[in-house]
Amino acid sequence: MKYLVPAIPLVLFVIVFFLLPQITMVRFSLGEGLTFGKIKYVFTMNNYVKFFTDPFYLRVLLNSFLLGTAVAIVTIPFGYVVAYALWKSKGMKRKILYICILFPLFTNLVVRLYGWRIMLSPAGPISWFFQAVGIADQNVNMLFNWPAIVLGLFSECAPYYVLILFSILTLINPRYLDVAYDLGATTMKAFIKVTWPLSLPGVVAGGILTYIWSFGAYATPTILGQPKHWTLAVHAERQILSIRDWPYGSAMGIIILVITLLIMYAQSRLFKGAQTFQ
Amino acid sequence: MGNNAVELKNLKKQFGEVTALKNVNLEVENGDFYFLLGPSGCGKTTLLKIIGGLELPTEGSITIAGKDMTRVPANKRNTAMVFQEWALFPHMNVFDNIAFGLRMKKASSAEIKSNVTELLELFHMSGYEGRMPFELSGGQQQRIAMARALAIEPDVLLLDEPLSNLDLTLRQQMRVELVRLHREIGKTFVYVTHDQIEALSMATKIAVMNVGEVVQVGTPKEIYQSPINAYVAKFIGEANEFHGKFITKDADTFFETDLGLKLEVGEENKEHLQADRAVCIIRPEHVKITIDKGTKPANCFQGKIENYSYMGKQIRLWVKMDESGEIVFLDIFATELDEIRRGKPVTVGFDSIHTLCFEGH
Repeated sequence: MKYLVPAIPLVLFVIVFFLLPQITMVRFSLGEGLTFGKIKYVFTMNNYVKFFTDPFYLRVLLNSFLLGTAVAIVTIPFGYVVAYALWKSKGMKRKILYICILFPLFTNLVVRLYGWRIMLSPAGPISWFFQAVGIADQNVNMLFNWPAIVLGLFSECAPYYVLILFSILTLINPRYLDVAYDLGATTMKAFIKVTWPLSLPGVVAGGILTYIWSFGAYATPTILGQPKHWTLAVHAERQILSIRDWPYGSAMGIIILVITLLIMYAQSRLFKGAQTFQ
Repeated sequence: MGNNAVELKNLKKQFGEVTALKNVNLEVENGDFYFLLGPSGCGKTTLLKIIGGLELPTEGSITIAGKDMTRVPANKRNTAMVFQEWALFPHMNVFDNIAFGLRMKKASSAEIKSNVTELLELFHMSGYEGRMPFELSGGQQQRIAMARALAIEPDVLLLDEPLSNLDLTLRQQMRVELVRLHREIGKTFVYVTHDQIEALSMATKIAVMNVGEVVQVGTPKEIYQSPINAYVAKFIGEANEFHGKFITKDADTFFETDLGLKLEVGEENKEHLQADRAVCIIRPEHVKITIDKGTKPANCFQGKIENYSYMGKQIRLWVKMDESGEIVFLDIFATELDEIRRGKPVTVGFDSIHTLCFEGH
């Protein structure tokens, strides 16, 4: 019992700042939205039924899934290269790489996204560069489309993905690679047979994080996209603050939460035995 | 020449400013169970890695099975290494671990199957094909690591302290098993250890190393009985050590310690007469408690038991000699003395042939 005492502040924190708000959200989502943002507390699944029968929102849900997939597809290989380079580097080189990876995290997300808006705008440096080298003959607008959003999310997720993967790579005993070379493996073979399978838990954990992050993204689609690119998270917020249908917006919030939890559960089942490798 | 499995010539290895190997020349004959023995940091593991190709030498040449291998990388050398921590691939079962090297050589699956089965039999591990490494005990992992290395039929098997992660009983068992294995398959083994008991009990030949150099090469018996210097003598076994010099008086030459103890020294041990400083080493098993019967050894001293330690089969005594105050240690059986207590007067003695004398410092 006395071992649980130190956990009390944390448990209280989780209850007050996570569990209670979530319970409130669930309660909202089961109610009925009235005019002027009022809620009639009844027990109805109507909001959920409405969501899953509305082709528009199903399309939004699908878009959110696709966005998560696209960002994961971009982040996984690029992040792997960076994490691998970080793992293989030593001394000063490693320090510099580390700083490059961590630096973006010191800047506020919204500030960074507005940075991308400048970079990708028709008057921005990338557009200028394309004209300077002759790829384009006029200003290029690279904003407000899917690639811009994927790029933005990639820049947000990559540092986390790299750090997760790097931490898994450092757990790989370098002897395994010595053994592989010693028994005749080429560098490529050793990577395919040893490094890659042993780093897979990191790829999956980092990939899932990237996926969940992008699936629930809010700021990036708003700043780098148009309303047609909005994710479910943006729509949930609009329902609550603009349309003032609290129960419907809450239902969307709960749907995002449940899907996220399901993905994480699937990951934990998938890699149940994997941790024993290390 | 053609009889050598491994030949190292003028090998040097530099890690930045640090010299790991100074100038190593070694010849390992086919079928040797060759030991590289030395304290940690003496360069023995670096030397092993250089033979295996996991490190490249700064200077010098390596010949393996008659072919120059100096610049050939590890994956093109027909050597296999067993590491201290075994390093079984944790994501592969026993079969896949052993088959790894054969698959890299693109052996046929039938060949792989028969080789792996044979190796598992050799190590009494049949039936374990499907086990994962974490399901095996330390001793079993050790065997699988050996089997994995032997699977590629290496010209030389390199072992880097493979038993140091096992507990004492298992280690002793594996020593016997390794010697049996070596005899059965008749391959050349090069084995790195800091454990002189391991080296003495298993080796056909030992190279004693110290700070990047090979100090002495010989059979276990040669190394133990005729060490080339005080370092080897002390490293290869326990030793009483006396510093002093030789003194010649009235046509008689004896060794006098710094504290004035005079020791009779055998003729064959007097080669360092000229040295200003000399060191005299006497192994504890050559020191006897002499009770007034039979012939007395050449060197006999009165002393008192300073301390003792019970070790089961024997009891170790530290005896402080009355004449000089120096302490000599020896092991006796409990029956040799009727009473053991601190301060008890005893006589200790050792023959002059057991005084190993070297140049001192």
